[in-house]
Amino acid sequence: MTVRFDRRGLTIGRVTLTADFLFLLALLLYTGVGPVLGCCGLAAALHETGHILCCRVLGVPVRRLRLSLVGAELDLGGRCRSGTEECLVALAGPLVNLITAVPALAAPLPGQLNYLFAGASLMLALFNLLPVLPLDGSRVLHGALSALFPLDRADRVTAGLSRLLKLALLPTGGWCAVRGNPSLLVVAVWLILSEI
Amino acid sequence: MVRTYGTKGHPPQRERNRRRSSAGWGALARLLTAVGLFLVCFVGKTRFPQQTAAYQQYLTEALTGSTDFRAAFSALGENLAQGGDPLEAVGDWCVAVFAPAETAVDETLPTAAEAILAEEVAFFLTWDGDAETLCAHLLPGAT
Repeated sequence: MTVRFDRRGLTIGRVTLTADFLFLLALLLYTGVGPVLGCCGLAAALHETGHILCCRVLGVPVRRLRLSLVGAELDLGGRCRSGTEECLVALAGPLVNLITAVPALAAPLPGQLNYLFAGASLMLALFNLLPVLPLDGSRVLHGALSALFPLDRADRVTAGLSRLLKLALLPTGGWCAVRGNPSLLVVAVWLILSEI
Repeated sequence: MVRTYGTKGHPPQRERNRRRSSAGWGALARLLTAVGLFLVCFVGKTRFPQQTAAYQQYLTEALTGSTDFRAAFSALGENLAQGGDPLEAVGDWCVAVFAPAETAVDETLPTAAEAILAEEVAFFLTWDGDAETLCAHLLPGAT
């Protein structure tokens, strides 16, 4: 396994860790959100495994997995060959989350960790299905549209809808933040940052 | 701002190498800072837990506000395990995580409603069971 450092960050094998990801990890560990972080991390790992497995089955090469402040991103070696393929790859992650949440509901763990994991998995799947770039929902929408319309139109519609939703989310998040809950604003800023 | 170098608009090789090198050093500095912070947090949390507890609480409150993410996720899982409505469970999760802190339901009645309630209570406490009296009270304009 090769370990190297370049402008992208620290790369171990095919996994790249950016500096901001390590900083976020340090902050989360320090603030003591261990169980939540562990369950969300496991759910996210299973989610990415779903995408990778689907790529393997469909023969889409996976060049690198990048972990940054904006989450985990798969760098595919090439573009998907068809809209259906893009949909399948995008849906595989949320699908794995839904599948793994079901047995977790029925398997009691100390500290109700199974409920925590199931809840985190379900919300990760649903959140990722929002049609906002760079989430999986936007890839599903893009795949479906590119199967029906020319590629440039699919690009425009997906990007336009994504921007519209982000624009709607930002003032709503700001309104909630002013009233004492910054969670939605953090999500809105995170979504905007992740596309830059 | 657009800068062009050389005859074809591409920066000369030396300039490109210099910029690549400075970007590499910048990234290295960011990575080392992040690794340093990670180690400081890890060592601080494991070796000096009491000293770091106060800062930890402050940071946690600043990051999460009044939201208990663990409770919200666990409640969602528990609700689904008990056969609850998935849409309702997801809705409850969204309220718990995203709703403004001020949206607690105000259970106090406005003054006008309080007066009407008091009037109705007084009527039914003194009502003798007569249907006509009740109709006259509930439908004052009806004949």
